[in-house]
Amino acid sequence: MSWTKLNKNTEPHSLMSLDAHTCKDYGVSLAQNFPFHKVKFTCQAMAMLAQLNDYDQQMVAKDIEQICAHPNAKNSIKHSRNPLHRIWRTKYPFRNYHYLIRYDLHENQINIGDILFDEQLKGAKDTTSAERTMLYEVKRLTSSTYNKAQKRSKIKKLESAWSNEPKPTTQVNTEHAAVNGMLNEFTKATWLMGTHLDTAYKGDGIKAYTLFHNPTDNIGLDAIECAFDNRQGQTSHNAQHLAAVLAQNNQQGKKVKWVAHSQGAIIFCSALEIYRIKYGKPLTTQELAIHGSGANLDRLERIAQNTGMKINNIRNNPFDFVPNMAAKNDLSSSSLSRSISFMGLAFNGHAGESPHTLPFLGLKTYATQLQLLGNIEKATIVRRFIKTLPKGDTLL
Amino acid sequence: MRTIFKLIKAYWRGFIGGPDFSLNTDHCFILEDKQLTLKVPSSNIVTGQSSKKVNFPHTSTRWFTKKAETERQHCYVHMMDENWMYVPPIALFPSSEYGLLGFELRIKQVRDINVLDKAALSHYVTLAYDDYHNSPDGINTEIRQRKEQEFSKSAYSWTREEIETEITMAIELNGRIPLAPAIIKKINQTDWVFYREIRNNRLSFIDYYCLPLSEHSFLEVEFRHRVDRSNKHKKWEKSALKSQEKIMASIYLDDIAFTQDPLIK
Repeated sequence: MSWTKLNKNTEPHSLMSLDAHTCKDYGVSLAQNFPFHKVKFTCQAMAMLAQLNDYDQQMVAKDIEQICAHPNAKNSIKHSRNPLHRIWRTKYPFRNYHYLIRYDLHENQINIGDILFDEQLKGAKDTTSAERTMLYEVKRLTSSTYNKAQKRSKIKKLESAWSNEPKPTTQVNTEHAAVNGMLNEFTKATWLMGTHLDTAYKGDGIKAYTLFHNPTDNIGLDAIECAFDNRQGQTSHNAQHLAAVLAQNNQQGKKVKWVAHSQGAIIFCSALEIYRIKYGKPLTTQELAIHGSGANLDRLERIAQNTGMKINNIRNNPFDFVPNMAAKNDLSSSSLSRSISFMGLAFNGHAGESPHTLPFLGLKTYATQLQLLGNIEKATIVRRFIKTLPKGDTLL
Repeated sequence: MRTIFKLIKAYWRGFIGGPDFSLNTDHCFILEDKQLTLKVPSSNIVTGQSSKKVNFPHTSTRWFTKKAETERQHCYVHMMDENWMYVPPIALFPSSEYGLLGFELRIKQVRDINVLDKAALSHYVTLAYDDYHNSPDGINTEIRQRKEQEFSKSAYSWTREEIETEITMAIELNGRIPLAPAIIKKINQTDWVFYREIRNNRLSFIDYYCLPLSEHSFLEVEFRHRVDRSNKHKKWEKSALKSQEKIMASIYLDDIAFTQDPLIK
């Protein structure tokens, strides 16, 4: 026997009570100890909650628990002033999450009316450490792209090729997505990752992509974050979040082409490790391109193989300190010498000169790029190195 | 010894880079019957030699239409540009730069007003900004529509006043608020129209200086202060503003003396 109960009075604003089992029917997983007896959701709030990935759901649930504990507080905008709170990178550094929860209190019952992105917390901030780890849908504005050595004025135009006012999104709704590296404030991350995606997936004619924004705190804390993600079992909150995004894409059967740049590769590697432990299902519908890898490629390729994710398009400049030395991909004396001689350009150079910032298009292009920007000395060093390589080498 | 002294100085200031006024390059442009001269300090960003145009028939509509490029509300013909980076004395990680000061010289044409009237020009430049962002495709319109839609779906009832307050707040946070009125700044006995494009929650900003050349064309000098690391902006902010003033003080617009040597031989 089967039956269907039709509730024709249900509207978006109708309230519904839940328990640990019924919430699963709506695609929401809340912990057993969630105060179900105190909280009711409107259908609209429930629909929003169902759209979120595991990590977001847990964080929103935590905020709702806070509301239950302090139902009469006017709002929850309160930040920890304890500097040590930010050092332990496995923990989320803010006290409240980036969703705005609108609720009312009715006979000691908390009725959650809306769950929305918080206007005050999304996007770029004047203090970059206040930016949040979030997904944004970034749209293309112009056709500028980095596909050959370019003049400085053309490189400048890359900065306005992608919208720097992207809208936050709960899910990856585009075919392409990217994770940015360290010390990339929001505006820089939007155009730089768009440029990297253009290079990684040339023929795709990308019109929009999803940015998994890895915000920057400062040099020290970003470095600590890398150390956490490089140590197995100490996954940063960014990697935990990314693992949940990968799981959601997989659950929905979405085909997503990722690019991870610099620290983004470390986060991706750590996210895959946590994904394998927590979710386990093969990630066959998603693929990854790695640029200027901050992660050790052996480790990344091994974990990608274990999770069934395809890795293609590895682009590391042999003069780049980050993949060579920091990620321990090439610790030979010649690599050390190359990395040191170009360290100044990688750390303080113009985007076009740096072996790390823009996508690596081959050594010949890099030499021409340096020549075009007037750095004859470094262009000569690159050309001298090209002569030592066999014809047809992939680095050319 | 000199290197150590330089390093100590850099640590004292908190940064290295920015415009180097000990090595200036003189530039000269012909703007029909006028000559524009300026000194541009040396940059710490290397650049290749590129051919430079010196003749700009700024009153010609045909020339302008052919050469103009558009960036947001700005429609202009590029003349020259230069950039200076501010970087830490010792960098330990990639992308360590503190920020960048960008300079661009350009010509604009406006048909609707007589730009020789500086009050009209002052009004025009800030109005163009507001009009662009409040146009049907502008960011403020987009935010307004999004918020209206959000409130129409809300589980709670909202008064018009509450909705407007929320929209204003959203525009202040993520849209473009109206600019402060443009002011007249006297530099080298010349009145420039000055205005600043700045947002509430960003440290980066752009300063503009405008000088009428004819009834419908004017010169615009853009100084782009791009902040890459917010916690280091205080270190170089004053230096960048001081450099901006110095560069502006080196700009002269004079009538061409017909007896002088030709610029291009």
